[in-house]
Amino acid sequence: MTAEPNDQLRESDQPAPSRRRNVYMAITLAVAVFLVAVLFGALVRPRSSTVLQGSPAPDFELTIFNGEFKDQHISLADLRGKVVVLNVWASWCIECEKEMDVLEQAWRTYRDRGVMILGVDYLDTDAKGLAYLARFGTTYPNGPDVGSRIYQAYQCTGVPETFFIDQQGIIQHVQIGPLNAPQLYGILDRLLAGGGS
Amino acid sequence: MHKRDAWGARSWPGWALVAAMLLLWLVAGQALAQQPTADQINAIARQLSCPTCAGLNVADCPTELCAEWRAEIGDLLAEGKSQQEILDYFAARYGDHVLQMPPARGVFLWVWLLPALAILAGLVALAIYLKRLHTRASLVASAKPDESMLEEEYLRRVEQELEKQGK
Repeated sequence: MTAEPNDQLRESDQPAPSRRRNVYMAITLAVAVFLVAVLFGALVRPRSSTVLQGSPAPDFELTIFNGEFKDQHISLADLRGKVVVLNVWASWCIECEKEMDVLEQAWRTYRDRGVMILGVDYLDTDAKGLAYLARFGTTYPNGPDVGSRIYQAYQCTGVPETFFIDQQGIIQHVQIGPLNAPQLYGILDRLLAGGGS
Repeated sequence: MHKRDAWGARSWPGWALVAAMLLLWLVAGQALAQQPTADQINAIARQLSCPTCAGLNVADCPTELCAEWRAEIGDLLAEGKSQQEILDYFAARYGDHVLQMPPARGVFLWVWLLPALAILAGLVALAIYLKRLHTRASLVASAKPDESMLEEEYLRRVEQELEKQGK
């Protein structure tokens, strides 16, 4: 009972500038901690497309610039019920060349079995991208990644990267680097059979 | 008669050749005038970042991609596009992150706001500090005792002590 008035006395005795200084210090410290946390989060946060495995695939719209689908706008939502192979590539990417024939063969083999292969041309001029497709005789639909939006949405870390999206729109497998035929066919057969990877 | 032939109907192929050369010179001159120079291309390329290398602009980057982009800048300049139109085109086509100077919108707005806010906060802090310093100096000045009063007090006490000792 006797301690209370003393405490009040002591608190009221604390000079006002000192209390204000403590408040300023606390605010400054909080701002500094927030900025460091943001910076740390941006630098350290793992950015990899593989974290999307098992997640719903981000929707997108691709304007096709080659082949029979030329000038058509294809969105992922329109392809629900199909297995979608989303391949991100660029004409300046040497590794991408290794899988172009494999993807084309898969397109010819699987297009009538409920598979859509889509090529996304990342950071390329249209002329270079089309010349590249012509060089490999690519017929499956491809389009430019306008504003790098698909690349960003799928958290790509480079090219080539390929996303296998099941009939329900879930990303079942992410391939970083070029695909080979047995790998590609194995994943497609598994997804068409109704199983994840 | 002979003299008139030299400048007359007989020499029309010569005149035609001169006219053709003149026309060619004019067309070639116009075409060359429309062709952008490397300096014009690089002035724009320097404002774009290479998206695949760290810290390099498109003018200085030796990759194939940046060579393509420089060629594209040249094509757009030849089409008569302005510098801003070309930068806008690249931002729309490849994303805002390819611009060396980020636009003041979206997440990039913070890049512009934070330094200004930091400078403002610094100025406010400096003003508060200077004001407090001034207030303290005024208080010290007002609390400082008069020296003549101190001397009088001192003499009074000395006299008191002497009186005590005298007793």
